[in-house]
Amino acid sequence: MSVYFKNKSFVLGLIFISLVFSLSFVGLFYLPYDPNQIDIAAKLQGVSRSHLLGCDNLGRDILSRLMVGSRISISLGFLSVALSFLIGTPLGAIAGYKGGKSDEVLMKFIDTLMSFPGILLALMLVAVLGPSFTSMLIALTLMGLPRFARVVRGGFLSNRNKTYVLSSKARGASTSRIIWNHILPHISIDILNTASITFATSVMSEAGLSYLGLGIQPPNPSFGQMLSGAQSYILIAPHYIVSPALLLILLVLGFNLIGDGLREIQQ
Amino acid sequence: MLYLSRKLLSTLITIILAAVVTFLVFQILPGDPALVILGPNADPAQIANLHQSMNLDGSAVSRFLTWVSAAAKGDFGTSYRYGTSVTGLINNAFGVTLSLGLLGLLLSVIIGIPFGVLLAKQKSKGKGMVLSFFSQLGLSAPNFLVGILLISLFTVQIPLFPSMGYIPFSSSISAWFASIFLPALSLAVGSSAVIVRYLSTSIIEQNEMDYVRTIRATGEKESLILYKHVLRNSLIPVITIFGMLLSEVLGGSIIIENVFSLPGIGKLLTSSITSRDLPLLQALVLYLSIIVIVCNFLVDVVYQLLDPRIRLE
Repeated sequence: MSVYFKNKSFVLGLIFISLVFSLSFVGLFYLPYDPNQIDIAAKLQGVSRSHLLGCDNLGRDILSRLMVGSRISISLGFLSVALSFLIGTPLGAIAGYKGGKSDEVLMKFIDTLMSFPGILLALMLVAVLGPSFTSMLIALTLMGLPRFARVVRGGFLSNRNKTYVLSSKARGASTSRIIWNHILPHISIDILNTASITFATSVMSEAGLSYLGLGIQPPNPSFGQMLSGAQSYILIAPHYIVSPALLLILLVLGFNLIGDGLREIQQ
Repeated sequence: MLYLSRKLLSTLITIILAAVVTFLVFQILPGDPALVILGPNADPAQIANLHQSMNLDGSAVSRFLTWVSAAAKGDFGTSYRYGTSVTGLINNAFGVTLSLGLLGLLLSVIIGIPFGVLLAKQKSKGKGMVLSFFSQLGLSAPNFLVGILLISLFTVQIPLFPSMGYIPFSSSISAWFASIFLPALSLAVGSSAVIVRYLSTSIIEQNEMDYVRTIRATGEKESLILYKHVLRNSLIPVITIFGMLLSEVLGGSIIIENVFSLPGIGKLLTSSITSRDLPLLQALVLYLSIIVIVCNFLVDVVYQLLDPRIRLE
C-alpha cells in the first residue's frame, strides 16, 4: 500500500476525487435547499451565508445543485466503467489468449469502434433513444469497452507463454481458471489504470452532452447543463460558472492523475 | 504494395459496414418521417402520398439500396427541416469544420512539440513537474469550458477577436483567421497535451537507446543529438496517435461549433438531432464516419512510408 501513497500523482488525484465524492456523499443525506426550487428574488445572488456558493439565474441554490449533479456524473462514471470492464475484459481475454482468427476479428471490431469520435457515437444513440441517463450509459460503455479490451488483450498476449501460466496449464487448470485466477490478477494495475482514465472520459463526455442539451434534461442538474446556463452570465455573475467548472475539472483531473500515478508505480 | 492493397480493401469494407450500421441504427428511430414533415395535423391522404414518394413503405433492404445508390452519387435527399438538398447543406458547412479542424491540429503541433521536448528535458526537475501537471490539466479541462473562458477573456474583457460567427476564407483571410482562431485554440488545448505526453515519453525512451550512446561518445553536441537524431525518431510514434487526435479534434469541433455558433458540420449535426431531420442526420453520420476511416487509412500509409519495418508485422 505504501508504494501507492508515496506517489505524488496518485495521492493528489485521490485528494481531488475525495473532495468531489464527499460533497456528493453529503448530498445523499443533507441538501441545503431543494435543488430545483426556483426563487426569483434570489436570482444570481452571490456567495452568502445562506447560499454558500450563491444562486443561479433562477435563484436555485448552486451548492445543492452541485451536490445532486455530481452524484449523476459519479454514478454514470461508475456504471459505465463497470459495464465496460464486464464486457471489454472477456473480449480482450479471448482475443489475447486464443490469438489467431478470433483475435483478428475481435480486434478489427474494437479498433473500428475506437477510431470513432466518442461524441459521435453518443449523439447517434441520443438521436435514436432520446436524451436520457440510459442512452448516455450505453454510449459511454461503447466508448469505454474498447479500452479495456485492448489493455487486457495486450496483457494476455505478453503473459500467455510465461512460465507461471504454462505450469498451471501443465497441472491441468482450466482455461477460465487461468484467465480469471492467474493472468487477470497479474495485469490488475493496467486494468485499474484503464478504469481510472475511462472514468475521467465518461465524466467529461457526460458534461459535453449535457452542455449541448442532449444529456441530462432540465430541471435535473448536471455539470454540463449548469455550465451552459452560466455561460451567458459569466460577466455579471462569475460565481455561477466558477464552482461547477472547478468541480468538473477536479473530478476529471483527479481520475487522470490517479491513472498517471498507477502507470508510474508499475514502471 | 501488398500491404497497401490489403489496407485499402479493409478500409473499403469498413466504409460499407459504416453505411449499413448508420442506416440500420436510424431505422429504430421512433416517429413517422411523413408526420415530421407535414406536422401532426396532416391529412391521411397526404401522408400516404408522401409515404409513396419517399418509398417509406418499402422493405428495409430496398430502402437501404435506394439510399446507398443515391448516396454514392452524392445525393442524400432533402432535409426535412431546411427543405433543401442535404448535400448542399453539408458542402456549405464543410469549409467551416475543415478550417477549424486543420487550424486546431496545426496549433496542437505548434504548442505540443516544443513543450514535449521541454518536458522530456526536465522530466524529474521541479519545472518538469509543473509542466507535467499543466499537461494533465490541459487533458482534463473540457474543450467547451476552455472555449467559454476564451470567449469571455478575448472577446469581451480584451476585445481582440469577434465572439461569434464565421467568415469564409474567400472573403478575407485575416477575418477568416480571427473568426476561427479562438475555437481552434480551444480544440488544441486538449490535443496538444496529448502530443506533449506522447512525445516526452518517446524522447526519454529514445535517449536510452544504443545509437544515442554511440553518437554521444563521438562528442556530438547535446542539442544536435536531440534535434538531428532523437527528435526525428521520437516523432514516429507521435504520428500513430494522429488518427486519435483527428478523431478528438473532429469530435471536439461538434461541441466547439456550438459554443462559438459556427455554422459547421457539428452545428448541423446537433440541430438535425433536435429537429429529427433524418436524411440530414443519416448523411452527416455517414459523412463523418467516412472522414474518420479515410484519415485513419492515410495515417497508416504515412506511418508505413516513414518506418518500413512495420510492413513485416
